Order: sequence, then C-alpha cells, then structure tokens
Amino acid sequence: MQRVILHLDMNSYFASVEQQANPFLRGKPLAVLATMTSQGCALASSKEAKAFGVKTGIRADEARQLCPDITFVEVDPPKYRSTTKRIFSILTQYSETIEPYSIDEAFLDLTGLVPSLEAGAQLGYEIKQRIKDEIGEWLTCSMGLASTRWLAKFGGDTASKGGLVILHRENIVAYLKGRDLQEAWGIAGATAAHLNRLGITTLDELQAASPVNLMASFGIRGYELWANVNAVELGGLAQPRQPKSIGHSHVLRVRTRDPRFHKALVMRLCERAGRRLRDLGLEAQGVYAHVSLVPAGGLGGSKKVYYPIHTTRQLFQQVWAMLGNGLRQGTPSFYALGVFRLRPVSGQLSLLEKRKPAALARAIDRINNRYGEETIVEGELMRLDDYHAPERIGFRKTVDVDDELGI
Amino acid sequence: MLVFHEQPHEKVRVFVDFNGPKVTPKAFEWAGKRYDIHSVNLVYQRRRAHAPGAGAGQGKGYDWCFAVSDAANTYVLSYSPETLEWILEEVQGQ
Repeated sequence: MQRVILHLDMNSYFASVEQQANPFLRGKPLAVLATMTSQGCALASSKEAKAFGVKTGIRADEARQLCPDITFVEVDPPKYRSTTKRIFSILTQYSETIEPYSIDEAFLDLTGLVPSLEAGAQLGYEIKQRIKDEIGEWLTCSMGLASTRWLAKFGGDTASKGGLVILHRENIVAYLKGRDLQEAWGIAGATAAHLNRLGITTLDELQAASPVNLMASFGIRGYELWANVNAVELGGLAQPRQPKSIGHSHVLRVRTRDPRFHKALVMRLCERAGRRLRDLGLEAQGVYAHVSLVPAGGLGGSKKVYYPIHTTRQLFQQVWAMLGNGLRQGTPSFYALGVFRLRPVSGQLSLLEKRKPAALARAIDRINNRYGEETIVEGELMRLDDYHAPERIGFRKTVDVDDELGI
Repeated sequence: MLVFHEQPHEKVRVFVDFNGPKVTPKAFEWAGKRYDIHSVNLVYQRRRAHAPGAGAGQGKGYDWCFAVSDAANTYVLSYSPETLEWILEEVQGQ
C-alpha cells in the first residue's frame, strides 16, 4: 500500500491572520510583535515585510529601519489558536490520523484513504481551497506530500508560498540535487559542518553516502540522516504524549525593584503554569526558575522536590525560595519558571501536608473557568494590572485536534 | 498605516442574518449611528475575561468574535452565547 503523508504549513501565519482580520492591512508590510515597544520581537512578518528583509526574531526598531512604512500589530494568541482549531477541524474531516506539529503546521496520514501521492495532492488542493472559503481568503499554506513524514515536511518547507510539492522515488534525486544541507529539517550548523568534513555538502550527496560510514561518524543519528533523505520511514506520525515540562517566561515591561510587584508577577506566572499542570491532571517533582538582573546578570537554577507540586501556592513557594533573596542584586528584566519530572496525580497522602490545598486549588480553578481568569487569585496577585505578563503564545503543540472546537 | 485603534468595550445593537447555524452580522448601531458591515473577515473565539460584578453564568466558556469592516474602518464585535449580548471590542481606522 502506498504510504501518503501530507504536511501543511501555513504561510506567514500570524501576519496572515491579522491581514485576514483587517483587510486594510493586506498587501502591506506588517509585523506581529510580542510587545508593542521598540525592543519588541517580531513573531511573524507578512510576505510584503519579508521582501524588505524583516524576518522573524528581528526587533521592532530594526524592522522600522529596514522598512519605514511597516505596520506593527501586537500578538493576539486567542485569534491564532481559534483560527488554527478551525483549520485543524477541516483536516480532521480528511483523516483521523493527524499530528498537530505546531500552531501553523500539521501532518496528515492519508495512507489507505487515497491510492497515490497524486490523489493525495488533489485532497491537498481541496483543503487549501476550503481554508480560503471557510476561514479566510488571505490564508495560504504550503504543502508537501511524500511517503514519509520527514520528506513530506521537507517538501512543505521547500515549496513555494502557497505551493505543493510531491516527492516520490522518481523525482527525489533531482529535487535534492545541489540543495544545501541546512535546507533540511533537523540539520543545522554543527551537523552540517560535521558532514562537510566527510565531504558531504549537499543533500543529494547525503542521499548517496554510505549509511555505514555515516553511522561510524554519527552513531545512530547517521542512519537517521541517511534514512530521511532516502525515503525510509523511521517513526511515522507522532502520537500525543504528556509534556516533559510546563513553564512560562516574561520580559518585563517596566523596570522596578518593588518586591511586591515582583511577587505578584512571579505569582501570575506560577498561576499560569499551575493551571496548565492541573488541567492535565499532573503533578511535578521538579521546578526551575530564572531571573535576569540588570546589571548583575542571571540567577536561578532547578531542583527536584520531595513533595510533588500541584498547586500554584506550592510552585510559588519553591520559585520564591530560589529567586526571592537574589532580587536585591539588581533590577529584574526577565523571568522564566516552570516544572518538570511530571507524572499523573498520585493521590499519595503526605504526613506533613493536608489534602486541603489541592482541593482548594481545584475549586478555585472551577470558579475561574466559570467566571473568567483571575476571578479568584492568591493574595500576592491582587491588583497586578493585566498589562504585565499578558497571555503569550508558543510555537509548539499549542493546539490539539481533540480540543473542543465548538464551531 | 494604522491611524487609530480604540477599544470601546461597549454594548451595541447588531442586525444579524441567521442562516441555519451560521450567524452573519450585517450592521450595528453604536453611539446613535448605524454602521453597515461590508464584509465579515474572520470569526474566532476568545475566552471571556473576568468582568467585575459579573453575575452567575458570565465568564464561562468563550465569546465569538467577528472581525468585520465597512468602507473605512475595521471593527471587532464579540457575541456572548450565554448573555446574548454584543460588545464592540475594537475599532481600527486607517
């Protein structure tokens, strides 16, 4: 049976969604900023902005220098998540085997549903059209179709904007010929340099290389490198799994040494992480925390904890114990904190702690679900303006197809 | 280039076309003036923020947001399926 994997990658996603929502921004250079400041980082730029060299990761003031007429829009996570859910809801109508890879990328296994890659491409064109018709005409995507997950993503990544690439045994050699190693998914500077030392500088040379020699140099990773470009499937679509860690970070919008403010901010980040932990029915046996101080530098670390963390208060106490005293050394500019060593809630009773805090945390979660976020908060969080540490968006695994779509 | 961006958060009257399960806002009244909607550009959901003094049932679930435009401006109208209220969330002029 012909394996058919389709990879979908939305083009300039956040910027395209903003241009979809506001037609007056279409056809104009636009960047979506993490924060609306001159130091704000561009999370996405429209194709018109990219033509001026405005790339993801660039600062707003740098973008303005490259393109004086650029428009900035502040990131709006719910808008992108909701749009992604609608896109994925279309995908679920074509196959039940879907891997949401990021907020704007997904794999679709069409094996057994279509007889060939070409037939899969017809479904791909249909999906593209449905996204335009049902969600927004400004939303375009690139697609790759191949017999393996890696090649499908390689095809999607290297396709033209809005294009579709089919990779099969007959055309793969020609498609890889002369392409730089770093065009490939998973090959970055160090690996490319290592391959260069072996006399391999292009992807077609990697394809023709001996897997035995590659394994002698890279170990099992060498076989993976060879298999990926030779259409050998190694893993297939990834299944949803429990996260390894849950964390939040924030670049501060104000510079202050007021300890009450920092306690509130850390509590807000702990609440976010704690909410996600409890939503997933998990507890944590490890915690990490970091703060950047001006001019002192970084401070923080990670540690294992004896009693599992489940509530926001438990997490805050651990984080504050790690960071609190050190805040006197400078002015905080950045926080990152989270939990790791996650496991399902065990229900193990503690000799020293009562069950009440966990039950209370779940009750507060239910109230906040019903009446809105931060309806009830820990005391430290009182009166902290929404302006500080607003909701942010990650690029990985932010949407599940199992999420309630309600559309 | 954006000329202005306001967030009124005001209740408005909205004239809506119900076509089966599909809801399409056609016009709305704001501050005594009627605004005809030329296009509905994007529909998305947003978790309702806590509103001080909100009664039971408010804040639960999600609101529907409609990013719409007329000839001059764009607007975001949110609709609460629970309270059946429409709120004008944003106005952007060019």
